[in-house]
Order: sequence, then C-alpha cells, then structure tokens
Amino acid sequence: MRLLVQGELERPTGFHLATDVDLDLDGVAAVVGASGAGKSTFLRLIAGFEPRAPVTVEVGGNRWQAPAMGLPPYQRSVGTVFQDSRLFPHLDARGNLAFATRSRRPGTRLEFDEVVEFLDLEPLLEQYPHELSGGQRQRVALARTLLAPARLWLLDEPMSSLDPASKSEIAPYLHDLCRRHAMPIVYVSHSLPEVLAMADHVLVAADGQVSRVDSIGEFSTSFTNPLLADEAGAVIDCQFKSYDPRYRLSELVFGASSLFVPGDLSTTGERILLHIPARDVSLATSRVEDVSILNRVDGVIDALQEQGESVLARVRCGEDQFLLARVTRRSVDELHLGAGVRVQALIKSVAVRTGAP
Amino acid sequence: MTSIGADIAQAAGVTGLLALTTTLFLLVLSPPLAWWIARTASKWRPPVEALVALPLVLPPTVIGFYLLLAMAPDGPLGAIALAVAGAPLAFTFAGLVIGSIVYSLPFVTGPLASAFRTMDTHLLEAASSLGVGPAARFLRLVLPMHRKALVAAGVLGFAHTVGEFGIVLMIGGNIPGETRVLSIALFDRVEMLDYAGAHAIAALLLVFSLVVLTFTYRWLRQGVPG
Repeated sequence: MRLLVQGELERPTGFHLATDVDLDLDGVAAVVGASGAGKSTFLRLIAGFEPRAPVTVEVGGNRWQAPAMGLPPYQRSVGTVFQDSRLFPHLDARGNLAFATRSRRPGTRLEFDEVVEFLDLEPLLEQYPHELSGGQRQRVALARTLLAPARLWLLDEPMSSLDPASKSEIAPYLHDLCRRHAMPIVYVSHSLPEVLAMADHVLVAADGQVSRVDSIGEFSTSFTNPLLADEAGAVIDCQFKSYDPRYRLSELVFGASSLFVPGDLSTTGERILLHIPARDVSLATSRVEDVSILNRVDGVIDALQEQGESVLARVRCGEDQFLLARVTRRSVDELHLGAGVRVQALIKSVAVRTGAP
Repeated sequence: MTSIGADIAQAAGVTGLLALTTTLFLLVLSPPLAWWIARTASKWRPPVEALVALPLVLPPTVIGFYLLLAMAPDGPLGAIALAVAGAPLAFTFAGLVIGSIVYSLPFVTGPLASAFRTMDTHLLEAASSLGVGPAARFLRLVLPMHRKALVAAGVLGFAHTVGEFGIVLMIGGNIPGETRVLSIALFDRVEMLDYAGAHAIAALLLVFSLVVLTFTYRWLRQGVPG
C-alpha cells in the first residue's frame, strides 16, 4: 500500500517540518528521531489532526489531504494508538472497546474475541481506566484501535510513557502485532533498538525533516544520526549460516565475518538484523586469539568522534557494514587509533533483532 | 373562594408542571448550545453568550415585557402560534413555558459550558481516530462524560423555574390552574393580607429549594466519575 506524505508545515511558534515520504508500505515503517524532531507531527498529519496543513497525504490511492482539502480523522481509515492511552474515563474497558466496534467507517477490523484473546484482556473487561496499571491501559487502548475499521495503524511511541515493567509487559504484544502484519503500521519511536526488531522501513525525523533511510546499517552508525547520543549502536544485516546444537549457538555471516549468537535462529528467516551497542565493543590493534569473547571481527577504523569523556569509533568491517565502538581517550592515544588503522573489534554482547523479510 | 390548601395544591401543580416541562426543553436545547459556546472560535460567540446571559442581569419584567409583545396576536411568536395552533401564546401555559425557557437558559447553559470547556480534547481526538463523527462524539462521549454536570444544570434550571415571578406576571397573568404558579399565589396572599397562607407557600418554596440544592451538592461530591 502506497503511503505518500509530502509537503511543509509551518507553525507560528517557529516549528517547521518538511516531509518527503513516498513508500510502498507493506509492513512496519519505523519513524525514529529525537524528541521534538517532528515524529508525532508526522503521524498527526497522516491521522488527520492537522487538516489545514498544506501537505499532501495519500494512502493506498486515496487522497486524504492536499493543500486545499483535508478529511477529518474519523473519515480516514486509520487507527491511532497514542502515547497516553486516552481511554474514556467514564467507561470500563469493555465500554471503551465498544466505542470502536460501533464505528462504521470503511476498512477491515479484527474480531472482538480475537483481539481480547490476543491482548489477554478478558480479566480486565469490567475494570475502569483508573483501576488499570499503565501497561494494562495501553493494552486496552491498543485493542480499541485494533477493533476500529482501518487500513493503516499508527503507533505513536506506545511504550514511552510506561515504566520498565509495563514496557516489558506490552512489548511482546506490539512485537507480535507488527510481525503478523495484519495491517500496514507506522511506528514512531525515539529508540532505534525498540523498533528495529519490527521495522521493514526506517524513516528519520531530524533537522525539521522526515525522510526515508535506505540502509539501516549505514544510518545507525552515521555520526549525524540524531539518535547516536542516547544509545549508540550499530545495526548489522546478517544471514543465517548454521546452528551448532552442542553449544546452542547460531553462526551468522555478514561480509567476510561471522558472528555467534545464542539460540537457534534457523527459523527466523534468511535476513537477520543485529543490534550491537557501542559500549559492548572493544578494539584491539593486534589479533587476539586467547580470549573468552567469541565474536571478533576484523575491520578498519573509518572515523572517530569525541563524545565527552569517551570516543566513538566507526569501524568498517565490510562493503557497507559498520560497527561502533566506545573507547576511552587514553586507549585512543596508547593504541594510536585513527582513521585507516586496522583493528579487531571484540564484541561482548549481541542483541538479536529478528529481521525484516 | 377555594380553600387555602386547594389553592396551594393547584398552584404547586402548575409550578411543578411548568418547571418540569421547561427543564426537559432546556436539557435538549442547552447541551448543544453550551458545547458550541465552549468550543467555537466564531466571532459570533460573544454576542450569543451575552444573549444567553441576559436574564442574569436584566429585571425579569424587561424580558417579560418584550416576550409579551412578541406573544401578542400581532407579535411574531403570537402570529406563529395563531397560524399553527389557532390560539395566541400570551396568558397561556405554553407561553409561560417559552418565557421560562428564556429565563432559565443561562442557569443550565452556563454551568454546562464551563464543564465542557475543561474537557480533555485528547479524548475527542481519540474518538475521532476510532472513526466516530462529531454528532456521535457529542452523544456518546461528551454527554455521558458530563452526566453529573447535566444533572446539576437540570436541577438548577428546575429550581430556578420554580422560583420565577416577574416573567410569569408579565406574560402569564394569574389564571388558576393555567398560569397561576406558587410565587404568584404567594404575592396574592400578601396583597390580601393573608399572612398565614403566605407563610405556608413561602416556607414550602424555601424548604423545597434548600432540600433540592443540598441533595444535589452532596451527590455531586460522591465518587462516580463524570
């Protein structure tokens, strides 16, 4: 389904957002960017909450908005899950869900029983929003959106207002939902690792602009990546090679290198995305063999960037594959690290993000 | 002359019926009007709001006077009534209902508009994102969420109509069983120097108002959200 959002939005407050997105959305498009970069505004444009913005919005061949027109949200077949669950306080969970099931706009919807089962809502149906925990509220809100007819779902940082416990409670549901691909999804997040697991496309909001990123790997390790400061880490695009049942390790390859990760990944698909946090990568200038770290990757330092106390090193270890390593300034001086220096990257941990098709 | 008891009972019946009818009309008219006042960005909001609030500041006799002119057989409202129902409005129960609606309008619309103004607009966005249009949003979200404010506004409108005097005197006159309400009956008793009868009516109105308001305020403070 084609998703087109093109135009510029200007607010009296000085806020400016240019969007140039035209993609064939057949899965999950993640929109990442720092707070205030315009991610939520981008979603509001699609949802219809900025009907007077001179922006063209087309979904699946239907024009929802153009400089001289704008359909109100209830006439767009799009369901939105908000950061704050926005449940109706005077209705119990069942009443909140009933609100959606009575909607008559065009689009497909999931069955009530199916959604209640999927989100384990049965025990919560008679409870009022103020009786629910943050995670439970968000589950009800998610269910409410799934029950309304839609052709596209928008998730606006659905986990950002939750505490860690609630986050880990709802994350599997979101993951399941996205992987099932019941509907195209635009998923906004300020955390690349959070959405990487589900994303088929990545859009970036930065410097007042929303645009598409072609290579997640290159984007994740680029020094201009707006997310780098928070949680620097490289995304590596791998292929499954083999599984060793004796040690329960899967071997994944990218370029000329291999990585070993725990668990049998033979069934997760051919392409696997790995997220490797920069803080878990050390650099050695000579080959290290007798060390417990399994994952050692050869590469060449591409660039260094000082970040406060530490230095972020970008290591090229394949055609267009990069790793990020966080090292101390002292190490940079003692090992004479610099662009062009051959290094071995020692990777302590690898988070597996089952990848896009 | 009828007995005091029968006279009071009859006047109380007219008063109750008038207040009930007026309140029902107001509960249909006021919520959309209050919603519009609370939400619109139209340049017409201030004059409309002022028009609704007029009975708060004008002597009831002023409004009663203009309504009397309008309801006369050659007045605009009277002419319509003549054409439709074959009878004029002035000095009828129907005329009294119209006058009471105008007079009690700010007491129902005002509190509702204040309540609507504080509503979290994010919830409206959420409803809209579920495919619910403006009319259904109003009926299924706004009204149920404000059921307390609606009841409070209704009670206030009812109690205020029960206590009305000036407008009734101007457009209703004093026809027993038709337009003679308690406040008029009280005035009559005083003019006749029947202070015992006046006491009975005055005490009835006082106790009624006090009890109704007490129960309303107590109910408003109780748990139920909305």
